[in-house]
Amino acid sequence: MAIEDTKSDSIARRIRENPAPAARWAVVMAVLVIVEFGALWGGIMALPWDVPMDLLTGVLPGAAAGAVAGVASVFADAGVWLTDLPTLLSREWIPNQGHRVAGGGWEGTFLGLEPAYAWLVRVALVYAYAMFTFYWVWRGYMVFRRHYRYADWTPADDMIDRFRGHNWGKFGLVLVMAFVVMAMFAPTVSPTTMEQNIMDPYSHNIEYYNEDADQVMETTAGQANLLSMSEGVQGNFGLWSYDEYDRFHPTGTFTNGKDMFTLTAYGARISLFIGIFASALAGGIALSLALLTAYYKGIVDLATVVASDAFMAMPRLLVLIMLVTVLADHWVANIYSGAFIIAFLFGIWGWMGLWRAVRGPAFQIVENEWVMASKGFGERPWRIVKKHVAPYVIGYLLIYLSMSLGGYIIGAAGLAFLGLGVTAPTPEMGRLIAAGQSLVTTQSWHISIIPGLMISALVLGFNALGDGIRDAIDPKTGGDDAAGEAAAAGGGG
Amino acid sequence: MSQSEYADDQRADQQALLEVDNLQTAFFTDKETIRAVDGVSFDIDRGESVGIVGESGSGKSVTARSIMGLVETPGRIVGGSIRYKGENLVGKSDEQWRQYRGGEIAMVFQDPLSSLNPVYTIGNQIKESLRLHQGMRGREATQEAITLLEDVGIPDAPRRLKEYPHQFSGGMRQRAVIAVALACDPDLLICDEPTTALDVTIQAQILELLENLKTEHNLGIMFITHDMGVIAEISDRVNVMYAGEMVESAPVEELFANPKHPYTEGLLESIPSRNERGTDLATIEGEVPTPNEPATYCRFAPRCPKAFDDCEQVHPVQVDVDDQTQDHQAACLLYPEDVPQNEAVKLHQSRDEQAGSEVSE
Repeated sequence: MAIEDTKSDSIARRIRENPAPAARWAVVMAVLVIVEFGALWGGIMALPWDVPMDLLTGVLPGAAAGAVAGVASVFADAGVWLTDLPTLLSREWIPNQGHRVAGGGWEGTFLGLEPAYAWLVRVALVYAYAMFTFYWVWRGYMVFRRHYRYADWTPADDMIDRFRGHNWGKFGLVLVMAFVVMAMFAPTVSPTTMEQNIMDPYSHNIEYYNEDADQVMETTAGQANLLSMSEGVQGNFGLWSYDEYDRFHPTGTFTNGKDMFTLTAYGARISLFIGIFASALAGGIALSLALLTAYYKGIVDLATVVASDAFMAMPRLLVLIMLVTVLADHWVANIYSGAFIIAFLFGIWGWMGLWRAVRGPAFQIVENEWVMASKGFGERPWRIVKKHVAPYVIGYLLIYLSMSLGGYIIGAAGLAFLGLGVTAPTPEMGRLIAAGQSLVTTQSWHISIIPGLMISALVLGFNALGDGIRDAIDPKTGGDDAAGEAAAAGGGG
Repeated sequence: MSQSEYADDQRADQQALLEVDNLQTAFFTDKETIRAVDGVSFDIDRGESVGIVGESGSGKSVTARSIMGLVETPGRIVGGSIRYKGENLVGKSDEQWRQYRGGEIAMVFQDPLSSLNPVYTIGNQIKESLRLHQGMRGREATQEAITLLEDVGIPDAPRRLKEYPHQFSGGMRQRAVIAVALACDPDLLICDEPTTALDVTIQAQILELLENLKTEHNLGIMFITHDMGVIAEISDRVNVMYAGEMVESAPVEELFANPKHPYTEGLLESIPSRNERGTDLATIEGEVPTPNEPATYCRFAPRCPKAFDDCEQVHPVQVDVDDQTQDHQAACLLYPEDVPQNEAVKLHQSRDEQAGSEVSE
């Protein structure tokens, strides 16, 4: 790029000088966000925001706490209102819940289609929308790179190029994205709603066509569920099936007649929350400790080694089982149906491997002369490591995190399988697998197998993505280097 | 330097900016204790540049790091004092010492390639110093950073500010490092071989720059190098170090005209340009010993062409080289020159014992 370009001041100024590409991009992006804002916001609102707020109000003195609580409730109301904004791809626009009519055909569904196809259209549109949005974000980066970036080339470009040539990594990215979309748009991609299916089935009426009476009748969802249970030989509603009440179940019904797909879609939310929250916590602890030990070395390092050995010496799963049991009656255990405490404990018990993985690089970086130089200029220790060491270490940490993330998800599912952790009625993959365990040899095999396959795919996706990121960041590793595999195997998880 | 120029500065009258007295820094390893700095004393005034010269491994850099309080484990200062503006820095906690780093004493490191972080722009790194020591932010800091870059002779400063270290040449980078140090607004600048990594023409420019900055900012400069030519260029006063000890100390002209210590003589003979064409360059045979035990003898004796028996028995201390010459000390049993040899040896012996008993107290 020409020299004169480099004179411009900041990104804002560069955009002012050449606004067209940025404007074009921003308009499309704005449309994309606006049409689905309610759904996107709903995904964010699904997180347990009340927990930090409650903690905050608990800590603050009376008046301030009241003020904070007031502000928070305004935000919560605004959030709920925003969540209820109509979206382009909502179930109201493309309904799949309808009933047969006497002469064949359907009523109440999208364009009178069979519910299966109505549902399929909606899911396909959601994924198309998501794919296009991701593409557009990527395109935004390319617009920035072509028109506004100060540098012609940065090392990140090479990383991205290496990742683009990494098929296994891209496969992982696609899997992870598919799950993120499913979790984000859970209310839209589910054939029925959370309230109707899980929370309050007896307050929701459904209409169905009764062949014996030859007329459309009405019943509650709960009542209908009783006759839609998958229990092996006694009755089964498997993949791609309709029940007696004209309801469509893409992946069959659960042992109590609830729709499996809805359960797994909402379960994906919980799983992702646990995985990401636990990773963030473990990663944060690991990074802080790595910076601390690298900077102070000596006794601090030794103490951390001993502490990490102590944590590692405790069998993680057993300790978690014990703590979940001990804390079962504590209010902490009720946050987000118990998902929070699981994620928290996984995070607390997850930092050791990560810390060991990034300790080495941190020690190496801290020996650079610019660290000594900034000490010489009287910089505070915390700022030195934050500014001069952390940026070099975070890359490594991300790789190991993406690999251990799957472990947390599997672990949480394992605990749920044992009956610990996320409590009913909030769906959790592990509990679904446990419930279907005895039916796995019968016609109702789907109850265990579907969530099992989904969680395996999710973990596989995160591992593949981690592989891809690692190879992309490290210029020395080729696509499938044996040394790289060995290094990856050393990661936590 | 002329004292009259700074006569109005009260502190400069009363005391030196930096007084290092009998500084001892040792590294404690499992195998041995290495006395990297073993009883070093020197002063630096405002507006004065003091050179410290010696071979690799003679303890120059450790002296500098001791003054900065940046000696890393397993090393630590075990004795002596470092008085900065009258305040003894030895024994201060790291946090107290941090108050002096940068704003009072700043350091320019040897390798300009590695003392700038490659992921931040030059401007970012200068502005960080400005924020820390002068509380400047935003536009004001940018303006000041441009001024600083211009001060150190970087053309087109506004553009250069936004460039990364790799876009700078070696000389430019060292200038940038000096600008970062100046952004702290220090009173004492420690330069640890700042020109070693640069070629000769750039070296000369940097030295000239430091000379100008010294006068402009009234800086005290401590200049560490192994290059006698550089020392001649920059210093007002020269201290020669050998194996952790100061072996000779004199004003620069005096040292080059009348080197007294055999080691200094050897060093000067090994400068190519000082010798006639066609003659072989003199070298000092052997290596700098590792000072791993208290000195009870002259550490230079094994390599010294003038060594005699007593050199193995008596530890020489710094004495005036003779009665006439002021301000010129050497730590060698041959001096003072104007007293008989055996008396000189006795003088060294008694002073060394005196010093030894002081330390043990």
